[in-house]
Amino acid sequence: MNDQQWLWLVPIIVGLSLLFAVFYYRRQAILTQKAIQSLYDVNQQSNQDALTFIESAWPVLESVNVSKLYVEGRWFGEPFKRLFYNEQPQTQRISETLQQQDIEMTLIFSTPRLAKEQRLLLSLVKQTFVNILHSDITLKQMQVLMAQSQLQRYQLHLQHDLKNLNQSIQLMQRQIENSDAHSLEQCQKLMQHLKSVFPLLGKQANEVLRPLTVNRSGEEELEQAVNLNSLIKGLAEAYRLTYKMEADSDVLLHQPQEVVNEVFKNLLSNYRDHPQQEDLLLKIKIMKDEEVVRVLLVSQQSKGLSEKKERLFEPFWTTSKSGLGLGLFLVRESLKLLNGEIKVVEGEQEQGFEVVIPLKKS
Amino acid sequence: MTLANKIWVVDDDPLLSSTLVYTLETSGYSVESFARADEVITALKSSSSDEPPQIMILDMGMPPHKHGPEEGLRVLDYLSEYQLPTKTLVLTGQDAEKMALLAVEHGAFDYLQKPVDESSLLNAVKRAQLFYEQEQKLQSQNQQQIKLNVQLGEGVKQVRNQAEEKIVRRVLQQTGFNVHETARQLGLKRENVYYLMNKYGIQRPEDGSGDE
Repeated sequence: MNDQQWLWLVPIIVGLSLLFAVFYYRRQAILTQKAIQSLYDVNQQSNQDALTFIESAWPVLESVNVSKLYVEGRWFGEPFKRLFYNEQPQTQRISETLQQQDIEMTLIFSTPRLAKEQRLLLSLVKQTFVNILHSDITLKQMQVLMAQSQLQRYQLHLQHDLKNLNQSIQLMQRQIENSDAHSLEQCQKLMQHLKSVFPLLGKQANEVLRPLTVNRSGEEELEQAVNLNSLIKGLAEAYRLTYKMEADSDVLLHQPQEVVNEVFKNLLSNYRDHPQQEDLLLKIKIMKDEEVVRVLLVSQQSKGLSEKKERLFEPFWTTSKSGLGLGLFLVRESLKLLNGEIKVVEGEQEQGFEVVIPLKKS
Repeated sequence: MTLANKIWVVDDDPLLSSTLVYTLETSGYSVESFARADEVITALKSSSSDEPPQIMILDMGMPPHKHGPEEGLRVLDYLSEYQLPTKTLVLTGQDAEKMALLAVEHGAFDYLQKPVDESSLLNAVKRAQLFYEQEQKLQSQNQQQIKLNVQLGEGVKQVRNQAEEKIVRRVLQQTGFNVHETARQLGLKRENVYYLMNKYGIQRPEDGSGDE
């Protein structure tokens, strides 16, 4: 072959080399993309639990030439270790440390000697793994802190109510003990007093239990219809709310009384405990049609409900420093038992809630 | 209805309030009960100037802040601002130490940690009554006791001002905001009393009581 013929080969060889390189890098990129996507899928399947994620992610790391993964640390004070490896050589090491309050981890990745582009692609996958692990740990810590705070709040509430109950019972016990020395008139007075306080005692005990009994079956016997107008009026007055009620007639609900009571108790105590302004006037309108009753509770509020509308029914969420944040959540849960519903109502000047309850239990 | 010589029980828990009232009434006291800070402050405002209650048994947590001390502190601050002679016994349930410190800081006479037994409660009431009566005796001899909370290290001018303000408020309250009578009791000229009222932002009650 002469020189000119050789010259034709050069562009062909260069072209083939370039094509090969493109295919190679494209393949590496696809593998990397798959590996990264797999890590996210594995994390989802692990319910974003850090320890489960570490165990489930090993096959993915192995596929990008990680020959050994060693993890050690402390999980809420408890030491732990995990070791994953295969038969590939462990020539090079990369270490990462993660820490978040009660969780610490040191991760050591070992790999064989790799070409530069392989190393680059491995580091992308490794970094993704570390980032996902970091967010899982952060999430776990936040969940624990939130649960602790909710428990503390709940404990505070319980303590307060139980201490009050305990105090009342102690004083009553003393009163009864002293009655031996009483005259007949004093004994009669004591009996009258005990007659008036024992129902309160029962009521108070129920109040303490109330947040503990969210899931009720709603299968109570329907002994008699509930007069909704009287119920709401009684509660509004007991909570000393300034209110104005409108209703064409008395509404009798054939639904479990306890559950209906719970709905309006929680709703009205919400107004008592979160007054948006001092001179709040609560307008209550009761409207009945053939199958359902609608109760509209609105007031003029300086701050709109819509600022935090999506969080209103979230359990343990509250704007009050001392509230438990369960009131509206319990309203919705109780209404589900009645096949009823509640929604936020927003007008130009007034905001509130509309509660819809079927007249009869289905 | 005269509010003199009464014990006021201030607690939103109807069971506890009722039990405390009964315990105190059977021990011979005249008792009035309230469930909210607003009600107490309104009643104090509308009572005539020399007839506030002798003793108040106050629960710190009331709606809308059932689990915090805000409402109880409002009542204590009102009593302190107008230097009313009422002796306040605070009933604390949660975080007793912290609550007790707060209560004393805001002028409470005593604090009792729930659950308190009947004899401790009655002893505390008797003690408060004793102090009240002795202070009334001093007052009849033209002597007044005032209580100051003083931050040390900031000079003595603020101490003087605090004492001055409290005594002026106390005497104005006692005289029904009668400036002439206040000036006479304090040994000042009327203009001085007006000056002091202006200096400390002391205002006549909204119901228009008090006169020259």
